[in-house]
Amino acid sequence: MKTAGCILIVIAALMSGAESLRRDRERAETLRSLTSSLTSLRAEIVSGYASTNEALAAVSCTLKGRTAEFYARVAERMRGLGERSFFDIWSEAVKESLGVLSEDELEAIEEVGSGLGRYDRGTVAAILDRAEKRLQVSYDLFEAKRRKEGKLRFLLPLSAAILTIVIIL
Amino acid sequence: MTYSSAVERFDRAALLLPHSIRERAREMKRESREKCEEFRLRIGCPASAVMPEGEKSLGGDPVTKRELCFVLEAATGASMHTASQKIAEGFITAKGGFRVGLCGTVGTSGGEVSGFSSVSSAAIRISREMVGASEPVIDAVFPAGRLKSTLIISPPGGGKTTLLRDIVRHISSADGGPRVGLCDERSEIAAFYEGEPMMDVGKRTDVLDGCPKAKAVGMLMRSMNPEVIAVDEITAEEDAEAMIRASHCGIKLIATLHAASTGELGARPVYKRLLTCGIFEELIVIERRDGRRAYRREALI
Repeated sequence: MKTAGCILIVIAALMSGAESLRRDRERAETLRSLTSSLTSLRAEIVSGYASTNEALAAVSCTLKGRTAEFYARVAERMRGLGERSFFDIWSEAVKESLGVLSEDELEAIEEVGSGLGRYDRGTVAAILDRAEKRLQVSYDLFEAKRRKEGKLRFLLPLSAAILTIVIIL
Repeated sequence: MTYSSAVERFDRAALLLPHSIRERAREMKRESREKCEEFRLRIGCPASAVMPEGEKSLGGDPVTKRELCFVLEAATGASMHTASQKIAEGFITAKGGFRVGLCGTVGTSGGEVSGFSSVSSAAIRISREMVGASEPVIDAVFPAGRLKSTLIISPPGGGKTTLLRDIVRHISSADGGPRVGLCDERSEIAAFYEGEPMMDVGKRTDVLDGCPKAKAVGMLMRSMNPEVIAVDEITAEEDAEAMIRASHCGIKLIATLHAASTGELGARPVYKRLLTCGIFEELIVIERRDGRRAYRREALI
């Protein structure tokens, strides 16, 4: 019975560590792809003379995961413009698809929604640049932290589990 | 145009309005919705509908700046950056071919209007495609499949653009009909939206959208080899010069201009020149008789 309990504790600790690593990886991946997607969005709008809807659809096709899902969601819901404002559509999609990001990162991406489609190309480019820089800084910091603390975040629950087993036994 | 499609156009144009105003517009009687020509939104005043007999308030709260921003967003498809050139000219063409005229405080750069720093009024024009509008005159301007160069005149709001569009559609769709080059400087005839015409201008029509008329005539001649060139609202000397040059190259012309009568035409130098140089064969004057549109023809040659 004790052995079974110990095995369960170790499995739970391993799963918790793995989940923590997976969430970090997902956040890093989302941040990275979101940052590069803003460069693509800028190119589509500023150089490609694309409308917001066309630019979002084009960018979503080149991405995967949560970021692709986010852009596709906004592009799809833009059919409802007139019923709802673009900012409402954007904010809703941010909340639904990018929940893995921190408050500060969400704020940066929401700011894009408040300016996209409302100004001339130059201003839109500046808004995208600003958001891209903020997200890039956030990504760099997070990656550095992840490299430094990644193993620790996996091993800590495992160590706690082993300690618990020692106490039990 | 059928009764239902006129109301349908009204309903589609109303989609550009903010919710509360849209609801009040939809409460208008069906007959009024059929005849409504424009919606007018001015900050601080209730929205109104322009009817043939004049402007009628839709009631409700005064229009706010936020509501005007909503109209702009809906009209541009949240793509103000693609419409900034047109906005600098004072209007946007929204999906469905509805023209949204703007007014407010303009920003300038190098003496040119670069855009609006704030918008205080918007006019949403409910353009209606009247297929068959040219039936009363088509035999005269397009006898036996050969187009006569035609000038269409009327006072503002008389239906010149509607007639021009339908003549273009008719001749360009006819079997063995000519290739038509259409200069649509203000996106009112074909009503381009994101590169697609919202109105039927025929299957052999090449549209040059958003280009100043004088330049557009030359560009069409060089690039598309048109047999007919159609131009809406000639106003400037250079527009007239471009038309004359095209005519000298053997191209047939259809054009419109603001004037109530031939007498008024003769009083303005630019128009007088067009009349006297003999490039037009037919003149169509659009008049209102008993509240209905009527066409009067005059042979110019």
